[in-house]
Amino acid sequence: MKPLDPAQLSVLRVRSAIVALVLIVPILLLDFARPQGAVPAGLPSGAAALLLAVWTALGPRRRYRSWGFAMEEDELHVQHGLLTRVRTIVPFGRVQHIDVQQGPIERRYGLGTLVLHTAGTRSSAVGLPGLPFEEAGRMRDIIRAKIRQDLL
Amino acid sequence: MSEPLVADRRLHPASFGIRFIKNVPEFVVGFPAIVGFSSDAGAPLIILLICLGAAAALGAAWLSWRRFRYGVGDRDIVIESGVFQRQRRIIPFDRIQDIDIEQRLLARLFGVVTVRVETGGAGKDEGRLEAVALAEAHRLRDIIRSRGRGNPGESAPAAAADEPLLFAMTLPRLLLAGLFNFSLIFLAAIGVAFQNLQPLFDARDIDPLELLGFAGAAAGQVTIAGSLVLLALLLLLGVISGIVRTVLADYGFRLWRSRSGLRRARGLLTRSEIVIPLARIQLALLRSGPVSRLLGWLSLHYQTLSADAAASGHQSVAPFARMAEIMPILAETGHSDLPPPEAYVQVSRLSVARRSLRYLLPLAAATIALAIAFRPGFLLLALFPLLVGVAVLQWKRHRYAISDRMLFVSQGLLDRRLWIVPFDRAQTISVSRTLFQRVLGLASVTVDTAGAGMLHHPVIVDLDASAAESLGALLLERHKAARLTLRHRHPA
Repeated sequence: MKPLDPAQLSVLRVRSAIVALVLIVPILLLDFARPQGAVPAGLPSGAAALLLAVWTALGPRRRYRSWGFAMEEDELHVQHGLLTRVRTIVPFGRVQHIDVQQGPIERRYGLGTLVLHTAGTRSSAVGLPGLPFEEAGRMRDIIRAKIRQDLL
Repeated sequence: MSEPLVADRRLHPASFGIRFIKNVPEFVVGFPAIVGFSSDAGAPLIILLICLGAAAALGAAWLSWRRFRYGVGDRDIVIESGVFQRQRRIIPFDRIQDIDIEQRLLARLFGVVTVRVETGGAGKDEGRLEAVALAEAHRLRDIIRSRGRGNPGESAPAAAADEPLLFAMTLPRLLLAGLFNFSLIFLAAIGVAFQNLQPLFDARDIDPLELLGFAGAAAGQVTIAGSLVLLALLLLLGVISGIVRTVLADYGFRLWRSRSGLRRARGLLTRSEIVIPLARIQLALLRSGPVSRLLGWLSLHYQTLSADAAASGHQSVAPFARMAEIMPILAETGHSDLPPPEAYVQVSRLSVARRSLRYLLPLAAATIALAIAFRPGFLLLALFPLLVGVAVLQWKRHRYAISDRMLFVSQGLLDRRLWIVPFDRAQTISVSRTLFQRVLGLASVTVDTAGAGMLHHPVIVDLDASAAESLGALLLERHKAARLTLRHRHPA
């Protein structure tokens, strides 16, 4: 299994940081706005901030490492998941259409996400993030050529 | 020498009556608004407004009937519709798989049917004729069968006699099936009714239970005899509602082998006749309940893929049948080479441990919580061996087998299922490991198929991790081989 592009680690870190910031603001507001009792102001939000800091520091690397992929002759293997580890095999002959997506953070790092859509129900869209954008486009073109070959 | 393609036919005039009646509920909802709006003005204005509204609805229904035409040409069907924005749709015969015919209760009163043109296409309701006479529907079907796909030229219309009957439900069989279709759905309905009627009872100081003759229950004196009577009554109602549901759904059930696949007719109030093209069948599913299995009764369903959500999912093709009746159907669709019982492989024994953990951990938490608040809560411990027993039985019932063309997965304790999945119908194959599974060195293999519901799908749970890996690889290899043969057999 090939790991994702190292820049994806930065993307995950930025995302975690954003989520942590978004969460900490209402926590701070609630903490300092509540009637002061036995628990001094700043203690709950401090604890929350510590938890979020640890999560932001350690989470992205663990999640980055959980990903892996292998592009084979006729199929793509994608592995991901921290608690439940899933490895999905998508035969190219089953691909209905292909997306290459790029969010604002990914664009900043020149990365893209390849999404293979099948007619299935449970895993009808199999996404592979953290590819260099050109590489994602190249993989899409290879898979597209394979589909066309399969149709012939 | 082809006929000019003209939309020269209209729907049955009843279509306009049906459309009007369908609009009545909306109209009735607006009724209080009209009354409220004009209550000062008195009865004449109210009646006038209602008449105007009815006339408008009637006019709209008439206009849309006037503006809807269809026609059958040499190579295509044409449908023109729309009151203001006109639409002309042409469906070529070689795109048409077959024709579905449905007759709802209202349409039955008018003696008309709804025709749906089955294409392999992506849009839903591609060709829908709301109301045509039954004879006209059959004429359309004959034309399409004779000129449609794989039948070019002007061959004679295929008569219905060419279609062998594969399965039918007789009335005694139907009633028997109903007995096993025990359901307590009506309980929910009664509950809802009581909730809605409660203000009524409260206002008059009546207890609904008292009305039903359970005066004792109402006063809080629940006797054993009273509860037994109540239980028996519930069971009886359950059985009756099961029979009623079955008869409504499967009355006159018939299954034929048609040109493109299977054709099924069923229903008491809503009669429907649908076509299941072979190309749409993704997998076969054999199901049996705990009691009916002992008596040798099963049901067969096909999972189909269709752009139309209503036609997607699991189609029942034999709701209550013997294995000997099911085998010929499976043979028609190419799912019949079932492996012998000894070919089935059991999953890892550790599955019992995994399942027990999964069931016991929440129960243990509940027991502790309950016991702290209420000492006899410890009695919940009695459930522990029961759950372990369930885990053992589930492990025993869960097996899989592989032939050179198909995967077979059997699972389920009470409601037992056998999935028959041809390899070429797999969409993706995945190997997954939850936290518990990783601790025990287990993994599950899922074969994703098209048209399935999210809840019901074939999964092989709790194989040894290495066995799961090699099974995944084997399934992929067989899938590729099957697709390759398919391509050689049908060069496009």
